[in-house]
Amino acid sequence: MFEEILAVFRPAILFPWLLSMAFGVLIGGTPGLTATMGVALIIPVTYYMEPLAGMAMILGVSFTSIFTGDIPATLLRIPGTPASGAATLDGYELTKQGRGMEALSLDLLCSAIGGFIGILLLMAVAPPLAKFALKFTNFQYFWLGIFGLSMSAVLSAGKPLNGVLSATLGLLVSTVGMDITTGLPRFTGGNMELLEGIGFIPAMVGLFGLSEVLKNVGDAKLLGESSIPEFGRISLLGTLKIILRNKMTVLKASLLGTCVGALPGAGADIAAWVAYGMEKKTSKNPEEFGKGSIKGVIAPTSANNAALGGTWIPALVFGVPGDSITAIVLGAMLMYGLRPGPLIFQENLKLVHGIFAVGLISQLFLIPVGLIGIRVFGKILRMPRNIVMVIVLIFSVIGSYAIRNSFFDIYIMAAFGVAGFFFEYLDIPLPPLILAIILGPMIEDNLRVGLIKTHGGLGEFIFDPICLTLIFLILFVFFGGPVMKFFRRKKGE
Amino acid sequence: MKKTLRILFGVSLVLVSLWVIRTSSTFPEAVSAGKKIPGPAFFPVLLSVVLIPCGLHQAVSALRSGTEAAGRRWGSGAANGAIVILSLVVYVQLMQWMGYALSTFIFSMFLLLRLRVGVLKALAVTIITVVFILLVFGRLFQIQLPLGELGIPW
Repeated sequence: MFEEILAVFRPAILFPWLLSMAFGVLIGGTPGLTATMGVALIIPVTYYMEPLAGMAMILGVSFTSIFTGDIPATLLRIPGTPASGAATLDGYELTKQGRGMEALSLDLLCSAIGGFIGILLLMAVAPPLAKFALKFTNFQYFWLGIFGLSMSAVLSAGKPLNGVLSATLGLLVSTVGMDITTGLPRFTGGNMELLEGIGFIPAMVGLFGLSEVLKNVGDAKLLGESSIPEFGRISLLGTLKIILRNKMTVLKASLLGTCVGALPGAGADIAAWVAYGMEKKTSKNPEEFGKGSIKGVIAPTSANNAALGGTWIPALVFGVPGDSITAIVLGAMLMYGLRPGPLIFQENLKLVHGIFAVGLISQLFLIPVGLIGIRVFGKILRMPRNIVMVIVLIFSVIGSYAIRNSFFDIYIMAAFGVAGFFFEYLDIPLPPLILAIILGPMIEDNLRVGLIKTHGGLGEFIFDPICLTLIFLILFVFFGGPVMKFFRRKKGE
Repeated sequence: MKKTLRILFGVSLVLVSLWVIRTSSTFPEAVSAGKKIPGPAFFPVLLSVVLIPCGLHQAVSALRSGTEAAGRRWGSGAANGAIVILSLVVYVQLMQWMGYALSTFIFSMFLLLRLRVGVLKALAVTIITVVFILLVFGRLFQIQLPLGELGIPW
């Protein structure tokens, strides 16, 4: 492990890594640009790099942008990323009281501590879990994939049925191209460029990049907007004292954040809300929450960065993404020629250790980078939205083109961008769609191979302890809430 | 508008699903050791069977929703959206002809001016963006940016 830690300080890894963290500051600090989008935009740049450098860039962007997303959330009440939604509540109240910098410095240190705990848990849990995952059969992998999609469908904003629709549509999109078993072209319309399937990166850049641009240029009033209030001075020593007084809140929120992040389909945004809600529920002074409570800042900001470590657990161990960022990571790993899943712990153990090392060291880098981010963010936030959107659009086009030097991929990006814009307008969540495009081949392959093995028999698909557990979990994800409500109502009567 | 869009979306989903089922029926069947096994049509048909009720639900629930739900106003914002998409198509065509740098310069200037950014600011942003991408994608990561038919080296 020591060797891997030293290896990440090679210039070929260190420079792109630090650059990506600076990019993360820009992405997270700019409302409307999400961490997912930042990762999506950076993937084409990593295409020609060694895998660890690519992974370092992805980790760098994701950790930094999740933190810097809290900056506009705290100062403007506009979450820079969805994961910063819960940070707006008490952070903004503190800003209104002239304590914005206190909130932000707390946020920065809690993000670093939360991220550190998340990665430590990932290091502790992932390897033994991978040994267990090696024994998984086709049927079990099929149900695990469906479980991941179900979680994503239910936990995404909007109605669960819309989530199911989005996931099913994504699975259908994943069937375009050459059939994995027979080599038959499916739904390509004779287009050679579609034989390899619909490019996952152009689709994702369109869904998260172009659709965001369309949403923003569609709101003419917001285009030139940029304003920030006065927010005081920073004191790291004072902040450390506050954290020490609230160490249990930091620890609880970080552990909770990691666990929520590890659930396939959940992510940093859900983790932050769950941690905030839990802290408020268990607090002796719940009435202080929403009025500038320090614990109300600590809990969500520790949890959202801790969740990032958690999301890597299912991604690395089972090849099932924990959230939309790790969904993109899985796509990137496949692009680098790696096989995410339990075998990666045997085939690419050095890379896995490298990822752990990058994850831990990123938390240390996060503090100076975050401080710089806080200082320069004023300038970034002052950049009008119309300029940011044009730059994002150009990056989306070049990023989509760069993967295969294909103009067709730019049209794919545009089509998915327009679709993503309308889907969001119709309250159809995008994360299940992108997760399904990535998981589609794995789910179809395991379903078909499994059915071939059982000669079409469904018994082994269902009557196996792990399959039954996963089926129960899937049913619980969809019907657990309504069933529990029904029983509570009955009990009340 | 939202109601109409939802109905259209639901109906389109049903039509696409039916098309998928019809197209999949032309795929050859897979046979192993004399037994039929799940072939290339199996998964798409299965998904279409799930999508049809989803599409019907979208259309029917929109029809039942009664009055048009208040949603986004489609004024100058919609025009901006349409212009972004149209200019994107023109941009790709231009890129194939005149290469990356010149086409990106024109595209960026046009959009920035359309979105009411001042001329000098637009010029500065455009030049910085074009040069930044050239340096990062083209030089640092050695990604071949489009040359175009004019053969301009950048």
